[in-house]
Amino acid sequence: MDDPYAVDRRGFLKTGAVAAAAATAVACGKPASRWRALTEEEAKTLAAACDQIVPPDQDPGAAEAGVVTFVDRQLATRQKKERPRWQAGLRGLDATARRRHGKPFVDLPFEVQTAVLQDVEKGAVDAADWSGVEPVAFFALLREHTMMGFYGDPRHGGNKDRVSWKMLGVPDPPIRGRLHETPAPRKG
Amino acid sequence: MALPRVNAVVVGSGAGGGVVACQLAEAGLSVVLLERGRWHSPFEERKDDLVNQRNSSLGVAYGPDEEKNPRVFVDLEGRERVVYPHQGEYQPNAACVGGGTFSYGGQAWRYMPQDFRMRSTYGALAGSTLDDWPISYDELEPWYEKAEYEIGVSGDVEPNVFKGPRKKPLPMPPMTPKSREYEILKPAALRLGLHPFDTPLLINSVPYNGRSACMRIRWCVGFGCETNAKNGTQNTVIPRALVTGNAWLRTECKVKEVLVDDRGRATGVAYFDENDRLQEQPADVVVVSGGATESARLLLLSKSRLHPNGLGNRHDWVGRNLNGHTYTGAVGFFEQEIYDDIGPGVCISVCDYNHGTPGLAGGGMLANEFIRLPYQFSNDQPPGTPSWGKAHKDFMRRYYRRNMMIQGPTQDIPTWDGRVELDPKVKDHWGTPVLRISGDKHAHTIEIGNRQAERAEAWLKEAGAILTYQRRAGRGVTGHQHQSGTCRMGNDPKTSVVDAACRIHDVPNVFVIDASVHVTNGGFNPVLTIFANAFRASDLLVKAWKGGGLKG
Repeated sequence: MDDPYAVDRRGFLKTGAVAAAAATAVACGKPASRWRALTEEEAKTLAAACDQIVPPDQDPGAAEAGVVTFVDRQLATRQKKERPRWQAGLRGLDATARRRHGKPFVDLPFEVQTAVLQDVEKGAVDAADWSGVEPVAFFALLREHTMMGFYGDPRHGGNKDRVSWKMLGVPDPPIRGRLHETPAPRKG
Repeated sequence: MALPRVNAVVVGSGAGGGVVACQLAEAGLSVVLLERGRWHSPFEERKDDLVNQRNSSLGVAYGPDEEKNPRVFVDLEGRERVVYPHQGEYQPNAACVGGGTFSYGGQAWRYMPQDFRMRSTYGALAGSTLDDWPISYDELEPWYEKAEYEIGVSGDVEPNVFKGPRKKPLPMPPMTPKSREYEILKPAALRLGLHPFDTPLLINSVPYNGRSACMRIRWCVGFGCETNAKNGTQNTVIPRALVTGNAWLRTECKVKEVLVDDRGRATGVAYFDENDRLQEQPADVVVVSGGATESARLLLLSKSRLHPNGLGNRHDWVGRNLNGHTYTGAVGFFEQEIYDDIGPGVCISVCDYNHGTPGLAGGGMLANEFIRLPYQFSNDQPPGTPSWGKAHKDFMRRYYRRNMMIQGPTQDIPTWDGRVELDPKVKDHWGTPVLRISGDKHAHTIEIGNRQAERAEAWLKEAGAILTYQRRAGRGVTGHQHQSGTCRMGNDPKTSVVDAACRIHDVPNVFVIDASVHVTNGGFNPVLTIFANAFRASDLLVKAWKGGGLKG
C-alpha cells in the first residue's frame, strides 16, 4: 500500500472493463484478447520466448515479471511501428518450431525451445518460415525488449514489484538521496 | 506580419545561446531568445530509466519531438534511412530550455593549451582537416574562469599537473562522501604513476548561487535534477537574462531561416511559433546557437541572392568537420562489492593520456563512469559470453554490484567528409528539409581510441579487477551531445565559416556561438569550452555593438 506504482484495484477493474467493452465493440468478430496489441496466442508464444531470455529460477523469470505486459503496452503505444515485425517474428518462431518438432513453440520442452532460439539468433533457420522480419533482427528485438521489460522501470508494465531490482540488490526506494545511510525498511 | 524589432535574436537556449542572451541583455541590448523545445521544471523529473537523454530506448525525455524531426542517416555502405531522435544514428541532443545542459552529466573541463594548437603540435594529418584554433588557451582562460564561477563548478583540479595555467581554484570543493570507486581507483592510479584528481562537475557540492547541493542519487546523467543542483543555462544565465527586463524567451519556436536583404545583411529570422504559425522577428543582430547539427542546418537553409548556398557557405565549409567524441574504455569486474549507490558516479579522472604519447596525435581524458542503471548494465557482459539465458541472469546477479567502468572522450581527428547537409527529399513537420548525416572516423582516431581502451583496462586491473574487457572504437561519424565543428572558426575565409569573434566572414551581423565553431573538440567533454567561448564572443559582440558597427 506504500507502493507508488500500485494501481487502485477497483479503478483498475473499471478501466479494464471499459477497455474490454470497447475492444469487443470494434474488434468485429476477432477473438477477444485481454491484450492491447497481441492476440492470446502471440502472448503465449512471447511468454515462453521471453522466459528463455531471462529464465525463472530462484528469482522470477521474464514472464512472471510482466514482460508480456511490457511488450504489449509498447506495441500499443510508443512502438506501434514495431508491431508488424514483432508479430511476423512470433509467427516465424512458431513455424520454425512446427517444422522441426511438429508442435508450436510453447509446447516444446524448455531445452528444445532454447535450441530453437539459439538457431534463430544465428539465423540458422528455414527462410520459408520467416517473412516480414529477419530471424536475427527478431531475436535482437526479443532480447532487447525482454531486458527492458525485466530490468527497466515498472511504470512501463514490466519488472513487476521491482523484482529485478530486488534481485540485483539495487537500493529501494529508487530515489533516496541523502537518506543513503539510513534506508527506510521495506516489506518484501 | 513582423513582430517589433529587437537588437538581437538568439536561436537556441543551450550552452551557447543561454550565455549570449544573458550577456547581451545585461549589456542593455533588447534580446529575443528562441527555443524550439519546452521549459521543463526540474521538480517534475520522472526518472524514467527507459525514457531519458542517456538511455532513450523508449524515447527521449527532453526533445526533440520524435515524429516532427526526422533526419536521414547514410551508413558506411552508402545506404540511407530515415532516423528519429531516440536512435543513436540521429546524433541527438536535447531540445529544451537549457538544451543539453538541463540533463547532462555536467563534466566541466577546460581544454588543454595543446588542444587549441593541434596542427602545430601534430602536423597536418593526411586525410584530415586538423587545424589550429585562431585563439589560444590563454585568450580563453579568463572566460573559463567566468564560466566556472557564474555557472558553478565543483571538484579539485589542483593535482592535475597537465592542466593549463589558471588563476583561481574551482568555486566549490569536490563532493563528499567519496564513493567506493574513488577510494579504489585513486590509489590504483597513483601506483601506476598517474595523476588522479576529483573530476570537475557543473553540480553543486555545497549550496551555491541560491540553489542546494547535490543529494547524490544514481539517476543523474540524462535526467533533469529535481533538487536543481545541476547547473545549466536554464537555472543560471537564462533567469539572469530575463530579470534584466531586456530579454524575452519564446519556447516551442522553430526557426525556419535567417532573413537576409539585398545587401547581404541579416534582417532577422522567420520562425514557426508554438501553433505552427509563421512569424517574423526583425533584429539588428542574429546569433545562431542551435548546436553543431542544427546551426549548420539553419545556415544552409538561409539562402538568398548573395548567399545562394546558404550563409557562410561560399567555400562549402558549413556542415563539414562534424565530430563529437569517440568514447572508448574498459569494464572491470571485481570479487568485492563496489556499488554503494553514491551518485552521480563520475568522480575521479586522469589527464596523463591527453597528449605526449609518441606516435599518437592526441588522446583523451579518462574517468570512471556515471552509475549505470540495471537495464543499461544488461548490455555490459564481456564479449563472447552469453547475452541471454540463465548464464546472463547469473552474470547480472554476480556483477551488477561488483563492476566499474572507465572511459573517456578521445579527441577525434576532424575530416572533410564527416558532415551534415540538407537532404534533398525528406522534410520535417514544418516542410523544411532535414539533415542528412554521413561520414566516417579518421583511421587515426580509432588508433588513439583503442590505445585509450587499453589504458583504461590497465587501470582497472591495477585496481584489482578479476575480469576485464575493453570497449574499443567502432567506425562511423560521431556527433551526439558533443557534436562540434560544422561552422569552423578561423582567420582565413576560404577555410572557415566564422572569424575569431564568431562572426560569419561575409555577413557582418550574423554570429554562430556554440560548439559548431570548435576547430577541434579536445579530449574532453566540450561544454565548459562552449560556455567560456560564449562569454568571450558575447563580450566582443557587445563591444562591436557599442562601437556602432552592428546596427542595421
